Amino acid sequence: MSVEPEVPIVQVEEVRENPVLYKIISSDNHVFTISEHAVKLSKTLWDLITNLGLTAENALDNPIPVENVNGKNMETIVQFCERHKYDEEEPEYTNYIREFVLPEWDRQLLSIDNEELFQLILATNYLDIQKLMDYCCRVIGDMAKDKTPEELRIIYGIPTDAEDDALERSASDSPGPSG
Amino acid sequence: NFQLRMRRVHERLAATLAKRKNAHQQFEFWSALPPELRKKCIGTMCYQTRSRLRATSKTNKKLVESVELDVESIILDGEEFQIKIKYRLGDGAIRGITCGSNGRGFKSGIYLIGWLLKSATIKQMQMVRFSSTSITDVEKQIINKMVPHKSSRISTLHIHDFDDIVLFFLEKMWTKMDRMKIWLHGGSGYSFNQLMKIPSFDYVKLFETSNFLLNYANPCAVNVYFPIIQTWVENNAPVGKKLIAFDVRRNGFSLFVKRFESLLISQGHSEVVLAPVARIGTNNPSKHILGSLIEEDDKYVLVCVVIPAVLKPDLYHKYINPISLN
Repeated sequence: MSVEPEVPIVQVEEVRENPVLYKIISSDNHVFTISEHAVKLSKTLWDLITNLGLTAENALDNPIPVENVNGKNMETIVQFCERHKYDEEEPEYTNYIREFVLPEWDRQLLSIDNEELFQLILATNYLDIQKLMDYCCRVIGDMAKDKTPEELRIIYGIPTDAEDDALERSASDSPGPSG
Repeated sequence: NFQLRMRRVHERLAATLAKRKNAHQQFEFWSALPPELRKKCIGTMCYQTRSRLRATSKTNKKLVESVELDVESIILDGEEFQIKIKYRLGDGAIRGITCGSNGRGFKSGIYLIGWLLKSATIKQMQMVRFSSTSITDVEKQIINKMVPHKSSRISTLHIHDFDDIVLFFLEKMWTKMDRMKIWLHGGSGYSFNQLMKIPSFDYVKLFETSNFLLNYANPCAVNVYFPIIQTWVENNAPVGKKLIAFDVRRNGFSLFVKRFESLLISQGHSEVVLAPVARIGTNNPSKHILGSLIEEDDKYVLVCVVIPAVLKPDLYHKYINPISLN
């Protein structure tokens, strides 16, 4: 499988220890190269690479299509993974509050508009990148800091209970896919 | 000077602008996020932010309550109807908050207690001045509805004044508690019959107790603790399970030896514990129980602990260490 890139390939820093590079194609046909260490941060992509049996010899000839992620988000994700590829492994994730300080570089990377952040968190969830997920969640969670419930309703666009109930009623009243 | 003043004005303006920019940061896609991602976002929020998000709608209340929460400590005051909470922020700093009630009773605070008992992992919880008038039957029903039995994850529990109402809360606590302290000021009816039926008490690793009213003039008789030791003998209590009873009478050791005479393996003064020790057998041949009476400033402390049967006397201090008692 070989797809011609429509936009220039995103350059990644030269990989010193491991020269293996992979190609990823986003839903809008943008092509990205990513190093082996970086791609390992995504459990979904690494599982795919393992299952497809890609090796150092055939990796660049077999781009991996990722239909759920657009080029803009993929660019952010590739940048993030390349930046954090040599980080130490995180301890096991729990639902408890995680104590970490969001680095300034990452805060800048995630200073994007709401819709982009929304798409990015969905993409991160799909690609299963734990650290980026933590950082995205922290950015969204930090917006709620020191806000009153009334302010939170505005910030998160939270519907009232009555609106929630009306939404549920209309969802249950509407005919299903077959009807 | 003028330039310096202007620079300060600029700095203040820049700070105000940054603050305003932050204040207007919005994410209107919150409700469009799948619940599992919203839960992950909630997982990054501190207790107070979660508490406020919980108040925005029924949907968010359910979501917030379904996410586990770390709490450093909770103090429930059954007379002032105050709830004091210490929790960690995302960067690890600790912050404290006190929730009070205007009149008698916890009022809406009872929902807060229910939420914390249900969702939080609590390092230390203290119950102070709880009596039968501290919570009403309706409030008990609310707690019953919110918190399943044996579910509250508390590492250390300190009950300052034992009253039967405490049993209601003990029923809610899990069976993995590290340490339970029960202090008595009443002195009457310190019977373990009811307490011993509660799973959280039965499984606790370290149980510490004291009866202050009987202190000095008339210290507590050790025989009230013997039913606990008897259950250890019969029910294969784990190695390391320990009872520390402060302020007991000085004849405590001889009474212990007499009560468990039929199980006695050895007794005498221990050079490593610096106190008299008696070793008794249990129904499980691989486990023994070590009992000792430690003297501290003319007061006596009964310490009993389950030890491996193979433990040699020169290692008794690994299980009974007078220095670490207080």
